[in-house]
Amino acid sequence: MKRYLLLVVAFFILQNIISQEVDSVSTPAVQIPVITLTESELDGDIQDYDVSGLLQSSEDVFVRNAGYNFGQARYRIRGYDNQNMFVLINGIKVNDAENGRPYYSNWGGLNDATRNEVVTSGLSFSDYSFGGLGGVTNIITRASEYRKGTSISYSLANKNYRNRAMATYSTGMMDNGWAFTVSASARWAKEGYVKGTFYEGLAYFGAAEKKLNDHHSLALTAFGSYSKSGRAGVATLEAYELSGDNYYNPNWGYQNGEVRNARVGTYHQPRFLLSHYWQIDNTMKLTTSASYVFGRGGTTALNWYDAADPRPDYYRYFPSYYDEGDYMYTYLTEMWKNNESYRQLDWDSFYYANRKNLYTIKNESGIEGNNLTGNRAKYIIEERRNDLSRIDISSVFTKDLSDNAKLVAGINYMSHKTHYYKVISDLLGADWWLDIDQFAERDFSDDFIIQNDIDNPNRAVKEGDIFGYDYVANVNSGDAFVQGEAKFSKIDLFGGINLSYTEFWRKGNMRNGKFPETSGGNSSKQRFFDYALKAGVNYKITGRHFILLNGIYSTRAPYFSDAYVSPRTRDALISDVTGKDLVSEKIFSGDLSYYYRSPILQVKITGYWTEFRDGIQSSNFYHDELKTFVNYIMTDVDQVHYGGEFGMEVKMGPAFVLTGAAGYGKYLYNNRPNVTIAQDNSSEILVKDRTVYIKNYHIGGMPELAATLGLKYNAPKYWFIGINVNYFDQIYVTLNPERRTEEMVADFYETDPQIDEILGQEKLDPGFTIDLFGGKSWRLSGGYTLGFTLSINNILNNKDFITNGFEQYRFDRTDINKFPSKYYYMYGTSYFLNLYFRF
Amino acid sequence: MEKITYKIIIITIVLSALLFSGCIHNNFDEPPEKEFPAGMVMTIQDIEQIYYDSVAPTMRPYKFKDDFSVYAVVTMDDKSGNIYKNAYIQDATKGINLRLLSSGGIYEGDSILLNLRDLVLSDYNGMLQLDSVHVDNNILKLKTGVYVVPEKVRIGQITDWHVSRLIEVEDVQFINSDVGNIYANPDVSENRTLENCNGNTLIVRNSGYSNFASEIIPRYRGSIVGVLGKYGTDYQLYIRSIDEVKLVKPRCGEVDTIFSETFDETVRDVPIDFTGWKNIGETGTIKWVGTVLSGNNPAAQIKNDENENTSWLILPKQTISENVAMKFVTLAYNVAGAQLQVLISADYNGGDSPQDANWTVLPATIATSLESRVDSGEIDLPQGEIYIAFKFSAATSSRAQYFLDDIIIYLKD
Repeated sequence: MKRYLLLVVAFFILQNIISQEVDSVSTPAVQIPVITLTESELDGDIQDYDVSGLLQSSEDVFVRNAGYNFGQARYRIRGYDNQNMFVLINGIKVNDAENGRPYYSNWGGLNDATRNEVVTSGLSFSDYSFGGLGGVTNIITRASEYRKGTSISYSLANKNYRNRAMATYSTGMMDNGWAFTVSASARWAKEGYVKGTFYEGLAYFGAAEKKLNDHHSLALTAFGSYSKSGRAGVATLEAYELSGDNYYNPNWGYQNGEVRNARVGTYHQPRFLLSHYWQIDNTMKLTTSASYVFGRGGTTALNWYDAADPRPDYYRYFPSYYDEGDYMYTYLTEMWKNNESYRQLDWDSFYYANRKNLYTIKNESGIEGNNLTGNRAKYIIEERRNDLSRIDISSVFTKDLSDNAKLVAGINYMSHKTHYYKVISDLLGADWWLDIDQFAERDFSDDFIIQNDIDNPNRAVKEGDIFGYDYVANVNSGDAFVQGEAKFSKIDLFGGINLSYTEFWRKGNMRNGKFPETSGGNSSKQRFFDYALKAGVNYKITGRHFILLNGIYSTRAPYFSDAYVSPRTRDALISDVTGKDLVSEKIFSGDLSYYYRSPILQVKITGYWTEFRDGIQSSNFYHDELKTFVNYIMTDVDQVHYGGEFGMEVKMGPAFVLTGAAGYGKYLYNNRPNVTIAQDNSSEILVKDRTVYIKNYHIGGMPELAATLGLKYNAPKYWFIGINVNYFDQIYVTLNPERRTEEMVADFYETDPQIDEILGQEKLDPGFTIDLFGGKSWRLSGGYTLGFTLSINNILNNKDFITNGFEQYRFDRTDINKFPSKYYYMYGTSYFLNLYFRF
Repeated sequence: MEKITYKIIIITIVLSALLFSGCIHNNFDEPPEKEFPAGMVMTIQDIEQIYYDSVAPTMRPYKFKDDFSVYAVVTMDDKSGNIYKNAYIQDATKGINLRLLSSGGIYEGDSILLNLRDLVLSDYNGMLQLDSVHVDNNILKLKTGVYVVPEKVRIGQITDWHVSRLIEVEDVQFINSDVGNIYANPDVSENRTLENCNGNTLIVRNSGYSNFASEIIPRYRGSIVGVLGKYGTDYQLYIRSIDEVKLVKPRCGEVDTIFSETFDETVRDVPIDFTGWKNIGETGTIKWVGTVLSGNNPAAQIKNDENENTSWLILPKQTISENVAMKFVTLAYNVAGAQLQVLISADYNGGDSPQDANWTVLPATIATSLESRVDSGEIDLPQGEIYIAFKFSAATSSRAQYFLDDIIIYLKD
């Protein structure tokens, strides 16, 4: 490992020495937040998360540049999933309890109100929390900490939304001991960058603080962000090529001549926070917060019964489903290229079919002789809901032991519930939808097994009715930590310990005919005790040269989202099918940095090594070999992430700043995990203890190498302009592990090139972009400020850069290209113009 | 504070206005109702005529380009998996096979108007089919639950007229080599063969994907409902549901005995003690004993001992399936004041107190003299696990005697 670190360091030293601007940094720290996808680039049912805004205020030269310039290519610092980055609001951790990820969309549009934040990157010491592998960001919403005055802004953009209007007013701390801040914004786009997408968002924020006396302050914060957006999809290269659009979106189609998107996410989860700030004396303070967050989440999707797949990008609707030369190949190529309605949804036809699909349900709702005749829906829009309700309490005590030593201790408690269910969102002209499991109906002739709800069999469900599945995920946890920091003339030290308890269980509200005994009621509780230790050293060679070393070892309880085989239908744990206990994941990580600081030059070089052990990855998909829907459970997954980071900045005279940053790592699977495959609609275990040969394959899905070089000019008269050139490389497509098993290549002769095709991991082409940014402000008389900032990404309008891709889980080993990988292209030129007025 | 309130109000107003301008995707107009185009109505017979006029001479499929429609009833859908992307419809004139672009969507009992536009008329090895049926576009459902009564037919009576129609083939059994096999092995379609007692045969075509593929083929005889297909010159039957395979009679020329007892193993005057039987004196001590009737024919006998008697002779537990009956023979002597009943119980526990169980009297003809052997007549037995008992009761000093012989439980013809 050491040898590798040296190599990495050498690699960066040999590179061009470039540097970048930095705010005045008091203490150097190794800071490693995580970058994730930007808003609207996600496909699927999950909420948006956009972290790049957060990282731009990081103190770390590498992190800040990575946050600003690398997010567009889905770069993730050190390859970490963003569940490793803790996000706090007034000390309350807001990462999701079921999968660990922070959902930034919960305060989307409140940019003014969430601007006060303290970013602690990586493993360094935080005043607010023990922290995660990727650091801690604490957003502070104390009304007294906002700049007094009013700010009104309007923004013009061309990504997921095109307009944003925002207004914020803050009183500052008034003589009567009160401080108030209110903020609100609207964001909208009739159509976003991608055809068929739209956006409407409304966010509001109010904070009040009362200083009771010199020792006590109370603060109340309430905020929420409502958003409704039409999603973009992801497709195969064939779809992009045939449609002539690298942002081809299969989710939309025309209804009555209007564009309608089938995948609409609607989220509104307001949060209330009450905080108590107690300055006990000059050296001690205690901050206690309680938070309640609740509200709706959900994404719509098409569902259909006894009809051909209505999605235009179903694999059989492509020319490639046929042999080249077949008349269907020619015909479909022609349709895809020249007939927009063929490659999009046909809403009018759904209505036409639904309005004349006469059907009789016998014994409707299980009532003998109750026969209901009407138009049964063949196509519907359903909404998959995930409604949240969560309480948190956190208390953090800080004691300055001396001028150079500090102790921080805290406790946290959380009780979380998410209610998962489906509702009929739109019957598309039909009278009702029959709530049965059509996949079970295919496999079983039994009228009981096919029921989604055996207490209401054969139920006709209407708009607003709950159907399909209905369960609650419960997670409770508590943790306590202590950490201390001491600074000496040549050396700074810190260390901390965290102990935590997690319990979770599933509560079923609907008994499913396939699993009548295990689908209803409370499951048994799963309990885990975990701990974490971390420590760091900063060796000050001189006042300009520093060596920093940090390390952490921690265990992490399995997430609810990974623990159950198929929580929609039953309470079976993955341990029930694998036969092995659920265990906490083990994580250890270390990094070593060299940091140089002078008035004109800053350089930081870091090497890191991180291992994850005993992880779980599970998914659901249609298995073509086994010819059924399966739960694919991979356990004992080990990963290793190692690499180096480089950040630099040079002040070239009073006005010019040259910046540079680069990160290069390897994010690899580090063992051969075990796979268990369970049939989704029965308790049958189809495959047990199959070995997946993925050691040293890349985790993929992001560039492992990213670099940027930038130049900024700060004019004395309140204007600035800058340019960045960014380069991304080493992008691997995310794996389908099932392709890397002995069973999948068993029938091929050993020199058959198809073996390499099945086993190989695709590496995507590197890409580069050029970004421009600038701004100017005017101070007007009467204390008014008027200004604008403009950033333009990918100014060369490069639309051919694939930033990410994944292998489909569904695959056919005799024809590897039948279910080809899907890819994301980076957007062409995009801009964000912000006009503001402050007084 | 007034100034603050003022500012908050302004912000609220501005945002409300923005919200209204932003809410653009809440409601979509439903597309207008579109009438189903019926065009000219014809019969399935007419379609067949088009086949003979246009397809048969040229050997090329005929594609309907205009709105022609047919009223028909769906007789078979693909829910059971025995056919796939297929359905059969019929009207008064004929039946025809529909080949669907995607599976499902129309169901047995649907009364439909089928628009022929874009459908392709052809034959598949001798059987007419309408191909490329897009259920959403081509079919209007008029009524549900219109279940066609299958036409009863014997194998020898089947003609081309029956092709693609729902029939009930009477008096058939699977050939010996098929009996005990399954209907079809996984993932393949397989032929099984029906025969009747005259030796006529009919193919039954079963898909390995059908939901009854792994059921065991019964050895009995009876009737089967299905849709008739044709492949080349062979007729073949498609089963819709395993419930419509009603084979419950003995095979041709066989008597199918489930249980019999002729009492040949008895010894004169020794109480009957066969395995599984019960021979109980409930009131008094007398039991059924062995005896020999004229012609050296062993039988069972019970005789009043001048005290009051109630005695039971109970057969071993029987598992009775559909279409099963029982017979026995009795003789009697001096039966005034005495009675022999044949009883059935589903809750008797096999123990020594049969009187505690619920018993039902079966209708049987019982002898009253020694003049001749009296046949009980065919007694239908209910399905299930049951016990059958002969209960003798006699008043004091009756000296009554009953003789019992040739008990048989069998599959009815």
